Amino acid sequence: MKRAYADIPEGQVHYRIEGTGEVILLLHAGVTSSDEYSRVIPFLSKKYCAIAMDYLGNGDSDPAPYPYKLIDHARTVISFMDNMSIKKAVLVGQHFGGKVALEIAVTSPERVSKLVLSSIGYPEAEQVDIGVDAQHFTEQVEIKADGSHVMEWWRRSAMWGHPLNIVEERFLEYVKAGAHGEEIHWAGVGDPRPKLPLVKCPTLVLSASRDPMSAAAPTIHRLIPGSKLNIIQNGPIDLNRVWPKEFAEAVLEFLNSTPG
Amino acid sequence: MKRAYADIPEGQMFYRSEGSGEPVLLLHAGVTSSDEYKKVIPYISKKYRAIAPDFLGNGDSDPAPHAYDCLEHARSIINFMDALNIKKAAVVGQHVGGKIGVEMAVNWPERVSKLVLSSIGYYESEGKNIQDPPNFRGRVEIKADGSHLMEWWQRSALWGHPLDITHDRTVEYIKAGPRGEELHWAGRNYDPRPRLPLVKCPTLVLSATRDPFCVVAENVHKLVPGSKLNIIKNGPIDIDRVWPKEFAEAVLEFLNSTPG
Repeated sequence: MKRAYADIPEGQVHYRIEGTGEVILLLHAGVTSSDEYSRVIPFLSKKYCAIAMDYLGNGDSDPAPYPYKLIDHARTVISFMDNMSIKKAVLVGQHFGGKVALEIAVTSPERVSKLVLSSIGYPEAEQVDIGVDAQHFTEQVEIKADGSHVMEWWRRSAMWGHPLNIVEERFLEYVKAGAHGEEIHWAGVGDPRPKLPLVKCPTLVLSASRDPMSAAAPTIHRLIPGSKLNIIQNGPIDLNRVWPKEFAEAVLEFLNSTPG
Repeated sequence: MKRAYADIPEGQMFYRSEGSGEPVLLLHAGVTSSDEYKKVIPYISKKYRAIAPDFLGNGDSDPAPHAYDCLEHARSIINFMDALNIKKAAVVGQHVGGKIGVEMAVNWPERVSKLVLSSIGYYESEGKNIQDPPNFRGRVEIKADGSHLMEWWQRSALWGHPLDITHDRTVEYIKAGPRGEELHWAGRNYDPRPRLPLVKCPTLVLSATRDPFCVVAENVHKLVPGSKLNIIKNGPIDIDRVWPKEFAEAVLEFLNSTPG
């Protein structure tokens, strides 16, 4: 797997790439980066060209020029595809990344061959399932002289009960994104439901039963004509980072069984 | 300024670059990265091609295959120059970066046109001339309660820098992870004194009065035949990060006034 930068008009976009053939573009969740696909890519790259990019303001990409909304991030992905001469790709998105992928599938359908929406939610599902913590969870963290802000980032990374190495990975994402990191969680606020019936390409609605968003998956599935549904039994939140093999297998099974 | 990766035999090496003309390689100190030169590069790049790589195991480069010493880091920078097709460069090094610059100049004199040694030091056998705070160089293990983060914050806050610089330095510790201190060890285990008389290229010995290693600058200067000495009055430790303009001006004055 190689890391590299693409120069788009808004700045430099960092990405990871491996394999040849049809392009699978992997879009990450809020306040993380392409790193969440580091262990997924080796499974996909056996048959496909797997590419995972960092949105502006996350991971190792340049900061966004202003607080980006969902549509701005979608535009960045299109700019990135243009820069890389990718006419059409399979889009796979996790949480916020699924909302970005959905936006592209609806506004630029000619660029998307197939779509995988992994654990995307909608407002009621997000409030009910994340609950009170959501209030505090996405507040901006200011850098303080006593260093206490790093403990707050650690707390946000540790709240999902992941193994220590994964807590550390998620924590590093907060540190890299810095004081403006939570902007991307804010950009994800909004209701994707009106857009779902407009999706025309083959779509997999993927989730994991221990992800709070899995409660929304049947509704998402019902709203997309002809979509498939796959809820991985006992699968954790941050499925792609924590269960990379199961995540990759679900994506590959869908791609291999779907013509187009 | 652009960020990019170069492929060397040991892995991918991250670097920042700007400008064109004679290459000036900027080598960073222990447990930091090319980030420490981000405010220096715009001054240098007006006249030169400024290039700052991250040593393996620091910043955004791949980890070193094992704990590298200064000679091994020097060889990886030569590999980096090969990857970028750079035959010869002026080499500027801060702290351990300067020691690695010495090894480049001694072992590959045909690749180094000029040398700037910024606050390089050495430790007397009794260790009394320069004293690190207790445990300062010890390995920091990742712990579930996140307490290792406060240890990194304390190591970064030790020097009384402004808050944004303390934060930047903490990010370096976090990125480098538990193996981060290996670069400090490489510097500590290296005594430059027997090597300095072997340096044949034009050399500037640079320091800042508030850097603890300033006390040995005069002696370093004496040991490098024909070298120049410039001690910046009241200059802080991490001078390239904290006083980028003064640092860049000292480097430029030397480069511009020295034939080669």
